[in-house]
Amino acid sequence: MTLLNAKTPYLKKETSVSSMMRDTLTALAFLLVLPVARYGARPLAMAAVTLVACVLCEIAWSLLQSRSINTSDCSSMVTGLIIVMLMPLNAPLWLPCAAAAFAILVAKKPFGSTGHTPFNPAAAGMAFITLLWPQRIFSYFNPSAGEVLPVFADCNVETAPSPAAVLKNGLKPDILPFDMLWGVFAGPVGATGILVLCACGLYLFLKRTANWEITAGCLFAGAVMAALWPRIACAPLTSIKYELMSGSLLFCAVFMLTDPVTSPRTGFGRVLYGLLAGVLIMLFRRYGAYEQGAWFAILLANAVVPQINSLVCGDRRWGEELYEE
Amino acid sequence: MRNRRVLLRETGTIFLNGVLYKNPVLVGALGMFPVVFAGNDLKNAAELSLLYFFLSVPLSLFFCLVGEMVPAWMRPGLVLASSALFYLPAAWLTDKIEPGSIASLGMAASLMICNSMMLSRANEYAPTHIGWAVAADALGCSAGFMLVITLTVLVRSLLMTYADTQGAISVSMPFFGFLILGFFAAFVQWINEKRSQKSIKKR
Amino acid sequence: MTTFVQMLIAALLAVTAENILFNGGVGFSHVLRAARRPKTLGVYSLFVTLFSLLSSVGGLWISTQMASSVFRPVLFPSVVAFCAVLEYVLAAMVLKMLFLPFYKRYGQVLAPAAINTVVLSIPFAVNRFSLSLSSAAGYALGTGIAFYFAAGILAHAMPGLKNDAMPKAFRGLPAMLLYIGILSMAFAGLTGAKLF
Repeated sequence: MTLLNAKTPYLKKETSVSSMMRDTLTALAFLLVLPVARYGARPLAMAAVTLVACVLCEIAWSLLQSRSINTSDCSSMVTGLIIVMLMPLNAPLWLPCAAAAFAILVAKKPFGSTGHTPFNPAAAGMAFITLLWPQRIFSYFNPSAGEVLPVFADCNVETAPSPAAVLKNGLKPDILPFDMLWGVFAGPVGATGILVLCACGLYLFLKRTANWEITAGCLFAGAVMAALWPRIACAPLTSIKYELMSGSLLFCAVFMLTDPVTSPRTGFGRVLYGLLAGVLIMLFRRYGAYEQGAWFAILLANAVVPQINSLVCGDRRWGEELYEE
Repeated sequence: MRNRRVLLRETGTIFLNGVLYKNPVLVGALGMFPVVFAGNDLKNAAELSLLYFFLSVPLSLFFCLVGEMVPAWMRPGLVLASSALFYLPAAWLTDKIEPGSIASLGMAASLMICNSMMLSRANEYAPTHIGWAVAADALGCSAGFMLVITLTVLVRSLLMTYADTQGAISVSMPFFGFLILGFFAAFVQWINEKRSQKSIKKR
Repeated sequence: MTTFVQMLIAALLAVTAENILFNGGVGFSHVLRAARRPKTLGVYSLFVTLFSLLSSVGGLWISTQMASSVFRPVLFPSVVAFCAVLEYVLAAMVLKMLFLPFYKRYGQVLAPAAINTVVLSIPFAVNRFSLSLSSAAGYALGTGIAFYFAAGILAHAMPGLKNDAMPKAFRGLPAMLLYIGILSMAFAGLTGAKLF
């Protein structure tokens, strides 16, 4: 019997990295439908500009390394679209491009590209632009104002606090539950349509592109923390509803935490990872400097994955390997 | 005459190694704290470079003289004690050239006493090498430190012009310094790789 | 009870929002050194914790003695460094005399654990946050724990940062620095501002 030393993501024979990326792109494209139908072509323009930026970054890196250009696995496009989904619709078009450039040129390529990244590149890109331009990241346009968004130009529109910002201030969001399900409130492009998000998540789980254990663990931990330590004075169920449906927790639990490269190898490890990420996200929401800290929590959770693998798989390789130096 | 030329050439090599090819910050991961923490404006960079120079050169030369007389286990302690002693005139000199610099640098100046780059050169390199080599190494490391911190400041300043008010604070945080150092370290590693390939081809 | 709670809170803050390593950029040369030798990581971190504890208590005392001195900005760091030297020499002598086999095995990490920026920055952090004695002790303990976690995380990350798919220029230290930078961003998301 031949022992094959495979690299991440560890896939069954019938799947491939390209097919997984295509499934994820399909799910992300579905998420764009509602914002485009409601607000016009700006979400499409944002996505197009960011995808072009991603491809240009890939080409630039390949030229610098004097290697052949290969974007066939679509991983950079997935990174770009994830970043777009976390943007406010009124953000300038250069903002997601800056995040995508950081994600690819700093968090992905130097570590060996697809299969070798220690951190989720989209999370790293979002963390970077949050630290540098926090006012632009958390300034969401008010959908009830009925303004028309320009397709390419900068937006000077009326803004409104998102439910996440309202919760951060210890107040109850003034929004109907039905509106929260369909995404009719101030928030990131692709993180507000809760029903569509759930459908996309189900699609990815059924296609086995994403692992449901991680998402379930994260949402369970988030729900427990929302019920036991609510940020607002309300019933536990109300707190759970608002915490799970506001901000980008659900989106990150479906699309970012389930990144097969940066998540643990075993089922039990993935559950642990999901639980840890859920706890961290809720802690960042409560104590962090920004109204949303999901991407910071994801970076921390990614850093702990090798320890989780070591704990669950009993992998002691790191000690002997390093001791050679 | 020939020995003198060889000595000068080797001294030059040691100096250049300290500046670039074996830059302790970018190759040895030593002394990163002042660069990532305080490398925010050119004034800070100049003051820290001056302080490092006034502290590291006498310290290294001192341990070139006495290093081997001290038991190995006691030497790190003696190095730190000497560094603490040399810090007083070094800080005075730096403050003389740039009045108010030590107070404005705060913790960054104070922790120069235990700068890992300086302590490792004084503890490990200086006792086992001749005076010329030690002087060249100390000068080279000082120049290398100044180069790294100045370049870091320039990159930070460039990005600060594009970030908003809160973002400008974020650019001055340590995480940004580490990211910049990572790319500089990659550049030096690339240069060293090219040099080694060149020398292999020559053989 | 209040003292214990204060210590706990200070320790928790030292690991999270007031993490001197990731938020202050202090002592990563030694964290990397500890990470390269995972077999001595536990003892290394224990030594760092103990010396940080001594440094925090000593720093508080020195600070009160020098409160009215004009030369405080220059003398304080020197005196703190001298105290650190004393602590190291005493610790080395005690270990050599009473626990020689232990010293032979772990003596190589005693000096780096005692003489580093992490330990010597504790008195400055104590002054900066105006900590009481119990909080200072808790902060020192938390910093030791943070050192252990940081070195442990980097030790596990190191093998993956030398893979063949990486560009040669980034293998090893450059990728490690980028790794530390990205991880520090996560801690920056907690504070949103500089620590010092």
